[in-house]
Amino acid sequence: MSFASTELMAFWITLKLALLTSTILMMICIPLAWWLNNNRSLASRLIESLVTLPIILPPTVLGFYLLMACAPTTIIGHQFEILTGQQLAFSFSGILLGSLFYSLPFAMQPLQTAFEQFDNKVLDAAHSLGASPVQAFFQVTLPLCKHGIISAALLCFAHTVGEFGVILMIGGNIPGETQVLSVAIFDAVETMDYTKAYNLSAALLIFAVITLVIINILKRKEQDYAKC
Amino acid sequence: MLNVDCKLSFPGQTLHYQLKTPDGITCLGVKGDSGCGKTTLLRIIAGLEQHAYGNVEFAQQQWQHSQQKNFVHASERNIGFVFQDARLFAHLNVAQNIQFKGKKRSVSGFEFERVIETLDVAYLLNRRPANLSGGEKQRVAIARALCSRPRYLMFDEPLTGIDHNHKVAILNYLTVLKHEYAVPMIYVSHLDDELQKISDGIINLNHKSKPFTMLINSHQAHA
Repeated sequence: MSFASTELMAFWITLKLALLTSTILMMICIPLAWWLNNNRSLASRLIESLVTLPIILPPTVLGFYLLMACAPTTIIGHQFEILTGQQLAFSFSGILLGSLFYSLPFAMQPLQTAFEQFDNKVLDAAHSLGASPVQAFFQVTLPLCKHGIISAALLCFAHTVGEFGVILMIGGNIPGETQVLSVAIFDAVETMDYTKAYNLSAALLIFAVITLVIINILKRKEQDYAKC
Repeated sequence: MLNVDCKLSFPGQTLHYQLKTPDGITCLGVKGDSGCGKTTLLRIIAGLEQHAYGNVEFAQQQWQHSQQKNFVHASERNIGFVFQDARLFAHLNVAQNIQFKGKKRSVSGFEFERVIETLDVAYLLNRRPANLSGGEKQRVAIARALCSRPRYLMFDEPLTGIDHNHKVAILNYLTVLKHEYAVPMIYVSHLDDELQKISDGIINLNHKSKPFTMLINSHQAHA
């Protein structure tokens, strides 16, 4: 299995996109999932539904709306162009924005499950030992939910690696800028370069299997913690 | 010592605690039938029931005055609370559990070595909670509460699941703590012998005649 520079570039863009998407989503979703789990208001239920929407929405629909929202004529697109000097659609920033929306539920669901399984009673113990709510969150809740958090980050990473529809809609197929692995495979098939398509697909398949094995191991560990 | 006038509503039930005990009691015993609200009373006093409405004053400290919107968070009440179930932190070993403290409690509590020895947990220090028996977990939980430098101690049936020899040793040690350090304590149990041994006065919470409202008055505390 050997790769040319365009494929290596697609690897790099995919890796960069997946790492950034997972990191940003973890920073947003950990507090959001905790808040949703501890809040029963109508607003929280509405937000929960909106967050889940990308699961049932066809990627092309999400990509289309995002493409329209990122156009230079819109406030978002225009402001981005003023700030960075480049347009949001058909750029790496554009596909990053699309990935954040598309992978949002895949980060949220394992986190919400981890927080649901978390026994809040231990927080009473932490408070009685002098830990403030913030201190208890960082010293007790997060470490006890760490397997769920790692699962969420991995799932988010793997899902971003496999993204196709949204990226193609909002980023197009620009080698070195927006061409990720899944789009490169599509491109190779279109040009009937099946060797390239085989190699790239095999790499993604191996990656997906390894990710799932790790996620399942972490799930077991999370259940062992819950038994304590 | 303790002045509580608090209401707490659950679906279909409202608990109303009116309770005043005389000064001069270091350890207040609380007994009553299962489900009569002993644990809830302790949780209200400790600040773990944030929906309770009313006043809570313990050992000259006003911890809650709902009308004045005054509520001291549980983490700031300087209490050591031993729950019925150990509630150890599964990600920490026994030593780390015992040393767990909030930022405001940097100084070590009652003599660490003595607590470890009395509770007989030295051989458990490197173990994880998952590898402890129920009685061992409970002994670690008591050690953790004592080592957190509490100014007040609250015990909710703390000796459940602990064998007889350890029970006697722990009760003796708590009695020593009470006399040497004069730490105000509340001790909940349904076992009279435990309460007789450690407490200076006992309140009997019994709600059988009024299942939805519970009124406990000062005359029920006897020194």
